[in-house]
This record gives sequence, C-alpha cells and structure tokens, in this order.
Amino acid sequence: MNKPLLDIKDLNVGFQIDGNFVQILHDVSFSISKGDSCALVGESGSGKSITSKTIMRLLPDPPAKILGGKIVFEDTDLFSLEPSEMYTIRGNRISMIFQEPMTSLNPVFTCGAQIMEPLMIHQHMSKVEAKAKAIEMLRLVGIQLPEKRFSSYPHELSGGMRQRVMIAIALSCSPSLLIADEPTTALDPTIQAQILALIKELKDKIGMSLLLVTHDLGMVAGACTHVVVMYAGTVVERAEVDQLFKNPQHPYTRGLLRSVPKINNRVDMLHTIEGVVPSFTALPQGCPFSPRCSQRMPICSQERPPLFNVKANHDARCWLIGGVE
Amino acid sequence: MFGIIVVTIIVIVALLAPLISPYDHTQTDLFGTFQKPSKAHLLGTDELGRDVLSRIFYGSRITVVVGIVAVLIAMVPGVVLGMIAGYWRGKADSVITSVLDAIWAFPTLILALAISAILGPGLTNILLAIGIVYIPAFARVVRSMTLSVSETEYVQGARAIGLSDFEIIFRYILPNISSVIIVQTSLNAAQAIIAEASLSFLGLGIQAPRASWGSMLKTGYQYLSFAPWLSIYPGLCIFLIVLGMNFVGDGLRDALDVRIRAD
Amino acid sequence: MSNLLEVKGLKKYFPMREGVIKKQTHFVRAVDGVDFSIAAGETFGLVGESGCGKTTIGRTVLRLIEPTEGTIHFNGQDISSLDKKELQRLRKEMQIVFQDPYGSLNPRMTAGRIIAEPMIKHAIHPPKKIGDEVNRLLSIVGLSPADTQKYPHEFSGGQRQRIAIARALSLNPQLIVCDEPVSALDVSVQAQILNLLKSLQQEFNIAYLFIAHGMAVVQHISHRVGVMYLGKLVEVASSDAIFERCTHPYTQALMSAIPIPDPELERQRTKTPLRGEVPNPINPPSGCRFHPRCPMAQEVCRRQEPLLRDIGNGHKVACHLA
Repeated sequence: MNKPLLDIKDLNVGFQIDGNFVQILHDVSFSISKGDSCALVGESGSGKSITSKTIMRLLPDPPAKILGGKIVFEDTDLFSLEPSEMYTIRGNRISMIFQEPMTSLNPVFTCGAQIMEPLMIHQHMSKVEAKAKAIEMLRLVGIQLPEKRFSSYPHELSGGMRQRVMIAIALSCSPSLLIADEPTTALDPTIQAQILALIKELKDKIGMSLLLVTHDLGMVAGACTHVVVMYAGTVVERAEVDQLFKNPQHPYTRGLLRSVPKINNRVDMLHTIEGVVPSFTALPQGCPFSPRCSQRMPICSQERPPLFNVKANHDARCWLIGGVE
Repeated sequence: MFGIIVVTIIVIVALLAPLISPYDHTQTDLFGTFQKPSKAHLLGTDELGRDVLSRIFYGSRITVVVGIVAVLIAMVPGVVLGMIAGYWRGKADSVITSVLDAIWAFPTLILALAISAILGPGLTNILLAIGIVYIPAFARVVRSMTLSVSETEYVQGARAIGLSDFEIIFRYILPNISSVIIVQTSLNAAQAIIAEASLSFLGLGIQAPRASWGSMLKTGYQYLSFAPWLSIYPGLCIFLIVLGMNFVGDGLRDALDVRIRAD
Repeated sequence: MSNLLEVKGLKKYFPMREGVIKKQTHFVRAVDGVDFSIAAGETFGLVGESGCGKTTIGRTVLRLIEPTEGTIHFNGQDISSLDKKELQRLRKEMQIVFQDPYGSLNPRMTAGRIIAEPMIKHAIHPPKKIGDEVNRLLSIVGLSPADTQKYPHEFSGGQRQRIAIARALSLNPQLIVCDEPVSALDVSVQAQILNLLKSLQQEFNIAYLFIAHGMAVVQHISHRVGVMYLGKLVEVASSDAIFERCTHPYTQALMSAIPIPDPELERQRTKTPLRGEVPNPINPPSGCRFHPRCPMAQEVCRRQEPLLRDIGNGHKVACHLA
C-alpha cells in the first residue's frame, strides 16, 4: 500500500486566550494520498482552519501551542523541522490559498511580482526566468492578456481574478499539496464554479493533492475524493466521498447533510440540529456532540468515543458504532 | 494608574491651594529674593521674594482650569461640527471641512499666539485661543467616526423603523463614538496644558502677579545659572501632569477598546 | 386580487462624481427598469450576483434609498412620492432584516431595547405593555426573556439574527425585506433561521422580499423567484418552474453553478462554467446585457435589448431565444 503524502496523527493543539489555556484540537488524525482531493468539512468553531494552518506551521507559538502529535509530509516529520527548513516547504512543496484574495495579496506589489517571488526564492530563478514563468502561470490560470495583467495591482482586478492570481502564486513551484482554505466563499456563485473548475483542472495537470477546507457540502460532493468531518476540534467522521454522502454514520454528519436546502429535492421545513456549536472553553463532557444528539446514550455524556472503523476507509467517532450496550 | 494618581493629586492641590499654601503667593519680599530651598521656603523664593511652593500650588489652579475649560471650548463645538459634517455630508460637510482644514493647517502654537495677540493677554483670552485651536482635532475624529457609524446597518435599520435624524444622532451615533471622544478629551487636556505653559512662557497669557507654571518658567529661565529651582520645579510639574494625562488617555483607550472589541 | 406590493419601471441611478470640482461624469445604473409584484403572505425571491442591483431594490422599496424613476404601490397606494409624515406611517407596514448579524444591531443597546425601539417610536402599545410584548416576541423567535438585558456582543450570529427578526416583527408589518439574512451563518444555523422565517410567514401571513445570491436557499424559501442581471430582471417564475424549466441562459448558468450534495449526480452533471467576469453597472453592454457571456448569443442579442415576456403560466423571460 502506498505511503500517504500527508499523514496527520493525534494532533493536539491549544491556545493561550486571556490568561487561560484552551485546548482546540483533540486527537485529529487523517491522511491524504498522492492525487487525492480531501475535504476538511466543518462549521465555525470546528477547528478546521486551525488544522490547516498547523500543517503549514503558520500558528505563532505563543499563543498557540502544539501539545502533541505528528504531521508527516513526504516522509518528513514537519514538527521536527527548524523554522528555516520550514520556509523551504511553504510555497514550494505545500502551498496555501485563502478565502479573501483582497487581503491575501499585497496591495503595493504588482501581481506579476508576487508570482515571481516564490519562483526566485525557492527555485532560484533569475528575474528574467521568473517573469516568463509568471506570465505562463497567469495564462495557465485563465487570465486574459497575461502580459498586461502581469503589471496590474490587486485592486485593479475583480475578486475572481484575484483568486486566480493567488492560485498562480500558490502553484508556481508545482507543489505536491495545495491547501485551499475556503477559496470560493467570498465569490459570486458563477465565479465560484469557475474557480473550482480551475482548481480541479490544474490539480490533474500538475498531479498534486488537494486539501479543501470548506463548510459547503455541495462543493465537497463535486470536487473531492475523500471527506473529513470536524466538530468542536475533533474528527468525527472520515470516509471516501461516495460513502459519506450515501451512508453517513455520525449523527452530526447526518444532521448536516439533511439541513442543506437541495435544489433537486425541495422540502417544506429543513431538518435542523438543535442547539449551537459549543465554545472551546466550555466543551461538554464525553462526546462533544452529545448535548445536541437525538440518539445519545448515557455513555455519550461520560466518555469521549474513539474513532471506530465502520468499513474500509470509513471511520466515525460515535458510541453507536462501537456496539456498546 | 500612575496617571490617575498624578491627576488626582494635582486637582486636589488646585482646590485646596488657599488652604495649603504656606505663604500668600503674591506677597513679595524684596529682601528675601532668590533664597535657596530651605525649611522656611521649601522650594525657595523667586526674583521678587515670593514663595515658590505657594506659587506652584496656585499655579496648579490655572493648569486645572485650562485642562477643563479650554478642552470644553475645543470639544463642544468640535463634536457638534464633526457630527453635522459626518451625518448630513453634502454642502455642510464641504464648508465645515474646509474651514477646519484651514485652522488645522496652522501650527497650533502659532495660531494660539496669533489669537492671543489679537485678544490680548489674560486667562480668559488664552482659554479661548487654546480652545479654538483644538476644535479641528475633535471635529476631524468625530466626523470620521460619524461617517462610518452612519453607514452601519443598525443605523439604516433605525431609519427603516422611522426614527428621526435627531433620535438617530443621539441614541445611535453618539453612544457609539463616545469612547473616541473621551480618549481625545484626555489627550487634548495634556496638549492644552502644554499650550498654556508655552504661551505664558512666551509672555502672552498669564500675567504677574498671578502664578502659572508656564509664566514661572518664563521668568525663572532668565536666572537659570544661579537660581535653577525657579525653573526646575514648575517644569517638573508640567512634565508630571502631561505625562499623567497621557497615561490616563492611553488607559482609557485600552479599557474602552476592549469593551467594544468584545464583539 | 390586487397585490400587496407592485413595482413598475423602478430605476435607481447613482451619480459618480470625479475630478476636482466633483463634476458628475457617469451614472452607476444599479437598477435599470424593474417590474415585479408580491402578493400578501407570499415570498418573492430575488437572486443575482454582485452588482446586479438586488440589494438596491430592497432598500428602494423601503424608501431607505430614493428611486430615480418608477412607481412603487403598496396596498394600492403609491408610496414613491409620500411626504415624511405619511412615510412614517408606512414604516409600520414594511421592515427589513439585514445580512450582517454583527453590524445590524446597535452595540450600545440591550436586546430588549432594540426590539422595543420600533414599538416605542410608533407608540402602538401603552408603555407598560411593551415589556410583555418584547418577551412575547423573544419567545416567538426562540429566545428567552432572560436575554432582554444582554448586549449584542453576548449573542451568537444566529441569535442576533433572531433578535433582528423579532425587531422586524414588532410592528406587525405586512412585508419584510430580507437582505441576505442567512448568508453569514453556518449551515445548521441557516436551517434554523430559514425554518423560523417560514413558520412566521405561515402564522402571521407576512410577505417576504427575500434577497440572496445563493439559488438553493432562495428557491427553498420562495414561492416565486426573480433572477437579476446587471440591473434588470431576466427571468421570473415559480420556484418549481425556475428549477425544472429555467429558460434564460444566465439562470441556467446559476443553476449549474450550484453544487449539489450528491457525488454521483455531480459527476453526471455536465457543467460548463460561465466565461468572463461579472460586468460593471456603469457601462452595461449594448443590446442584451448578458450577451458577452452568453454561450448562445446571436447577432440580434448584440443589437437589441430583449423585453421581459410572459411565456405562459406567469413565467417571464427576457431573451430573444426563448
């Protein structure tokens, strides 16, 4: 069996907030193989963004603290790397694109200059080579008149185009893994579709893997091969995409799937999950979802369930599966 | 904390000056001039034999008056003009902003000097001069805050309910810009005190025999080489209160920001 | 049966001033001739992307923004030219719920006061009764009387939207403009708020003008849907028809852009994303405004602007090829 490209094991991360130490991520484990598109799904307060930033080691310490676990990327334990070694990974082997292209691009540099930067730093290209490659990247991401757009500033472009520039920057060094943190949330629906199609196309072209962090289940169904569902800082279910949508095991996943309005299946009232997502400072005892779960059992509010194996490549963190009497 | 303590002490001193001053601060003693600090005169005497300590106590009254009145003269018109400009915009805004920019373009001290020179010396006149000069400081800050608060959805919602402009200004806009006004007030008090000291130092403003820390500095400066205490103590007092007011302003800003940022 | 709200020929142009003397150079044609109507107790969904003018329509109907041209009839009365006093009385009949739960409530007012404000202003209840009314409204929207003393920052996004809805309800309006009320909320909270809006409509017979850019949400909650592009309506139909028989190419593009949470269906769908960018309302294209991006554009589309025509059953389309 192939070794996974990215393997996260038992990741525990906490934050120093207002003098108190709060644990955010609890035993987060999942892996991505070469060529996979993995979706990291969750609502606000699920810990998905923190997970993706931890992979890139973008969280400042303090206030964040990695309490335990391993992240192995291409046979290297990322936590064992010095900061200077981590620099060679970011933008080069693992790239990231963010939600708000306006604030993620530097407003005082031209788009072209920003694409050239990783090329010159990581690939040690000369200015001339980098410029040529940057223009090629702009063309690759579907920007018309790339030679002209090379000298444009971010504020001169629309939201969709800025996102394309971000993608160009991220993919310039042909990374093995692209982390996309809610890349289309701030865009209009038709532009969202364009950007998603572009990401899929480039993924196949470059042969990289994708970690898509999102709350949009519809996007997940169309773009990903695997899904990891997070709730209150922990992984509650992980499966291949068909399995997850056809046969969700965790009550939270089920509830989430039923609360989305479906254009092909109109209902009068949407299914809702009672209650609200708990805050990290006041997590319930036992399973974090238990207070809202319609199928909870006594053990659920006492003991936190481990990840149980449902099928090949399908795990869920729920006592209902563990076969507890 | 330090700021609050310093400011409180000075206000108390100002209030109690007549009670705690060992001597009449205007009493001259032409045979006891330039006495070094001693048990009889804790901070020495000045060029006319007046007790420095008493003059410092009485000088604090001027400081406090300036800190309150001059600031009010700057704040009230400043806030009103700023809110008019920021809420109604249009022509009113253009006119107000141009006038304010014109005032603000002058270095504050030069302008205060000019106004004082026109009005003449004396306490009331320099209060006016200092107050007028700082109106733009308040108005600009209030105007920009008003502009941004007017655009919020809760103000639009208030309009949708049918509230009148005045109701919106007083209940929706003013409470949300109050923290900015408070911080600006405390910082402006420090600026006003320095302005008064400078003006008095330059000869406009407080005239003898009244004592103000600035005017004491002015006269004391001439005798610096052999009677340094005439300059050191008033200068130290000015330094302390300005520092104190700045700390209070910073502290207020931090405290109030946190409450808003609790969102 | 006459409609609750009847909008005809609505236009809103925003002047753009440039240069040192702020000379007016262009207009932003945010809304450029829109007709639609809403019946009592009905939800009319208005969907489109940025710059299409849907938010402007919402504000103009409420006269928070003044229309440049056109008429708005509410309950048979022309409200586009009411004076201040009459407009005051109108405020009781039409309210608005905004998108941003973090900006739509005054941070310096308690929840109870926020909800009571409209009632106090319009004096529709004796002062002693207002407290009870506030409690009643809070429980209708799923909050508790204990929440009256809390400030907005003590609530979650979904709870703040409930407060905003309670405030909108307090005057017993016949129409509520919902301007992207769930776009900023999580999926599970979104479902709760949508259900709340639906049940309130059923209980109090309130009409909604529901504005959003997400087709799935709009289609779920609306009886009829209007699709906007660059200041004009391009298609109007019932919610079922808009899905099953969407005719205008832009509507079809919007539909195909919606991801469906079903991997098999997603794989089967042939999706051709729309080319080009959302255009600028300052200088709309000639003829049919959609023609530069339309996969089926013909010569006539470039020359002549299509009118919104009825193609049967109240289904209206603005396309030469319909």
